Amino acid sequence: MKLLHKTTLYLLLAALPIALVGMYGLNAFIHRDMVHEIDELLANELTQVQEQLRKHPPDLADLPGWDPNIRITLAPLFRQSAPVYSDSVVTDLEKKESSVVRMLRATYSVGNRPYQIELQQSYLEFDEIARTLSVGVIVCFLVVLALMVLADILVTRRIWQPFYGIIRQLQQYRIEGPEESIFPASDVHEFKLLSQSLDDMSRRIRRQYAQQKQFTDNASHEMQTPLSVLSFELDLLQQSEGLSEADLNRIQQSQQAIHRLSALNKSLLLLAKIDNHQFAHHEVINLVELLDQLLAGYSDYAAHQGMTFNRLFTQQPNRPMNRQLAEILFSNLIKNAIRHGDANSSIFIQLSSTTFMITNQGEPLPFPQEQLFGRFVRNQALSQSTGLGLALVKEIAEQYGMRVHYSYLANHRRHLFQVDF
Amino acid sequence: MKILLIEDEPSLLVAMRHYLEGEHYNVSTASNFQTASVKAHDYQYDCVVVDITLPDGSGLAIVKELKAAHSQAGIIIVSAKNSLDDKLSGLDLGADDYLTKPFHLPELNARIRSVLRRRQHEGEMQLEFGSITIVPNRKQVLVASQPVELTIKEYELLLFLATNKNRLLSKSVIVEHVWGDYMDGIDSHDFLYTHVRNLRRKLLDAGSPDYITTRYGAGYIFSVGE
Repeated sequence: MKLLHKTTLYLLLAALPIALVGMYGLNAFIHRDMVHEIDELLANELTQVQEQLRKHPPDLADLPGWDPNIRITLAPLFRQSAPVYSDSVVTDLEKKESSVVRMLRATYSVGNRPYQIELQQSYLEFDEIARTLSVGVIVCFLVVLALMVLADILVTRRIWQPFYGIIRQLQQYRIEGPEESIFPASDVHEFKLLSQSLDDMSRRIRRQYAQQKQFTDNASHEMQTPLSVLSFELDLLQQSEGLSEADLNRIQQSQQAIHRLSALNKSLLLLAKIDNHQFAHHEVINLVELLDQLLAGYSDYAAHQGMTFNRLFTQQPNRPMNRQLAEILFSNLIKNAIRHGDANSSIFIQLSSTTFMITNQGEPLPFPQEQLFGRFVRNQALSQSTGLGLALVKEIAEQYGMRVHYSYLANHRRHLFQVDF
Repeated sequence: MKILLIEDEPSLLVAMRHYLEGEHYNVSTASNFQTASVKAHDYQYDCVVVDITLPDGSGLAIVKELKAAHSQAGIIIVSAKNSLDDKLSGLDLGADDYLTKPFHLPELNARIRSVLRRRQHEGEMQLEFGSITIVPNRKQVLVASQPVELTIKEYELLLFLATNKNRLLSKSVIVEHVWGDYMDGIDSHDFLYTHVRNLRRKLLDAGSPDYITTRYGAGYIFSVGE
């Protein structure tokens, strides 16, 4: 739900009880005021009636009866009392309607003749006015509110424009992108602040990212130099006269350790570069050609293990990929199958337009299947393994939106790797 | 054969020089861009081995300078970066080969030899090793003027061993040279044994003495024995 919709909704939800309570409150307030006014009116009228009675004392038989609102009767003797206001219901006989009236009862003596005066005033019109007034006010309130909300919606849309601009910019933000992104400026202080903070943050992050990248780059390159020194020295040492077989063996071991360290270093650098999307140069790769070339490259190695490749290429898919990455992806899978396959077994390789599959015979994994594509997960029995080969496979596949599956077919004792394009 | 080595790491420079002098090259060295540029300009070399990253400039600039001066020297670029971009731009500039650190000295020697062979006259060049003759242009091997049928791998194996004659070459170095990057991280180099055995048998069958000695557990030496 948009912020705008949410505020509008809450505003309207709050307005409803306010309107209801307000209407009743207003009605009650007006009513109380009216009663007060009516009482004053009645008191005035009483004074006038008393005046009239005093100036023109009527005959006993001819007490004025022409105004239904004024009733003057003879009161029982000596019952003088203070004027009393009360509400009562009268029934109009002609209209057959009953209505609430305000009534003032008072006694008044002219000479020694006591009169009882009853004055009444209907609430009817006043109540109507009160109702109309309070409903009118509330309707006005609601109309004003609706207009405010409408205006708010229009204004908010304009005001939040820079905010959405910032969000769009953030969505497109790529830390490795070529140019610094500038967040849109605004005349609203808060947005300006947000924009500036994001600009600062982006600049800081980019700088750190660049430093980090530079560091990874430099670290791995710097590492190759001492490795080269070691390797060269061992190359020279190996040429010395009078080395025993054990000495030569030690040199071999050291060379292999150097080689492994260097391979690790290269793989880590490669992973970092893939993570950073530093591989451009995409070309259309004919996978059949690539696989044929790779399988030819590995045929001597496989043949030595007594392994044979069984290939079934049903289609000739072309994929847009970086050639180096494509080679690493497929050669790592092939190498993996040869290294972990049983001697004198066969490796099946299948390629269709949507999948690549490779299976090799072998014992089940010595570790949980979920870890297979993790970094530094390896079969300890193989000393030269870096434990990064399959991590690279996964990383490269993800880069190109491909999915890599692994399963173990227990009844065939076969490991199956499948890449879905 | 005059070689110029351009490398800023002193210990690498010393080791390379030592090995290459053992191969009877006339070796000059430079450890920074300035010296390298002057030497490359003032003298004629048959081959220049140049490291891309120098403290005061790029090795690629030296390649450019050499090419601008129409130098006939073969150029091998050495880099700590295994970066395809560097490799391509280096080769585009006219370098003959590209080596990524760390590499082995016998490999460097083989690359230099190969570059020098390609630089030499177009004519049929023959390399004589005892009774074995190698004709690189045709990738052919002759024993007593009779061609020996070798597979491509066996040919490359023989050429590499012969190029580094009298040197003990470990199996991993040989495998890396002949099979290239494919064998990165392969645990066992035992499969090399089959290929060496086949090569030996073919050469022996053709009437050549056995020049290949096995140093058990270490590798192979090719020596003609004066």
